[in-house]
Amino acid sequence: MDLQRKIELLEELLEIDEFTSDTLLDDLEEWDSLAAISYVVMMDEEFNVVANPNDIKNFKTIQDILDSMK
Amino acid sequence: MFNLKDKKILVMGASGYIGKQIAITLSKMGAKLVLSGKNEEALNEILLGLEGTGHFIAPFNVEDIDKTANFIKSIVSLDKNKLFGLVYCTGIFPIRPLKNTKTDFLNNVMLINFYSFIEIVRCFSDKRICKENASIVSLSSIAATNGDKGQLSYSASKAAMDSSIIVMAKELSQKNIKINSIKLAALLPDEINFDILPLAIQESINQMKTGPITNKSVSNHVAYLLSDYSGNVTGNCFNVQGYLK
Repeated sequence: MDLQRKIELLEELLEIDEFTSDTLLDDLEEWDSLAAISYVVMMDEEFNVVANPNDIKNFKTIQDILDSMK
Repeated sequence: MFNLKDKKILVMGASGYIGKQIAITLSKMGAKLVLSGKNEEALNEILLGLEGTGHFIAPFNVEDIDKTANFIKSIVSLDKNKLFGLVYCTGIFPIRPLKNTKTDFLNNVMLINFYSFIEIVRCFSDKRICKENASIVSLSSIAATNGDKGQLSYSASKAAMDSSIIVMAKELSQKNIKINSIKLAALLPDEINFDILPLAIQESINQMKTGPITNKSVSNHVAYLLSDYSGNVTGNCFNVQGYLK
């Protein structure tokens, strides 16, 4: 999957389009417990991957999420 | 009277008996309406009867559920304004006993009365579609908890709607969106002679000590739930039946 499509999926997930790869997740009110569940669903549907809760806890930036999308 | 001045509100099922009156009432309160339903001709006729300007129609068949996201996006992109409110009046009320309630039939009722409701709320509640403090009101029925013979599919679809309200209210409160339903008992339509109504409905209306429920009174309930007057009210399914049981 190309980067543009991954960004589109993140925009859908977070319902915002103003972020960069360096954006800190702690600074995004949209990144909450429900968004984390939506991330798990997205990883399952789009990548056929069962997301690891520990990995999610360790996400610090948007780039961390993008790196996991494979 | 509640002020809904310049609030952009989508009315689903606007060509129906209740939806039409809701549209008229909300327009008198200053709302900017988007009327939706299957019948474009009927929507245009209702559009002509609205007060104020800035209203438009957006015909849509909720059975095309896969097209819902694009439909909702198109309503925002049309005038570049996000939505403030959603009123879901779409619904069918088939009477069919258990014996004839087969899967295809049940699926169709659930599709129109429930699945499409969830899909429209899902798309509406995206922060890029609706404003902060947005409000959602759906029309339910006391049949959700006390359906009569022949109302199996209808009762089940409304029960599904009502049980979804509390869950969605909890999730949507994080976005400052409120959601409520109104559980109506039998309505007394203006132009229908009371004596020709089914006996069960006549009995229900006769029990209404606060007077019969009309589409105008329902419209005022909807306006209240859309307005700032109901600021902290969310996750409720309001019984409107005119009597206590």
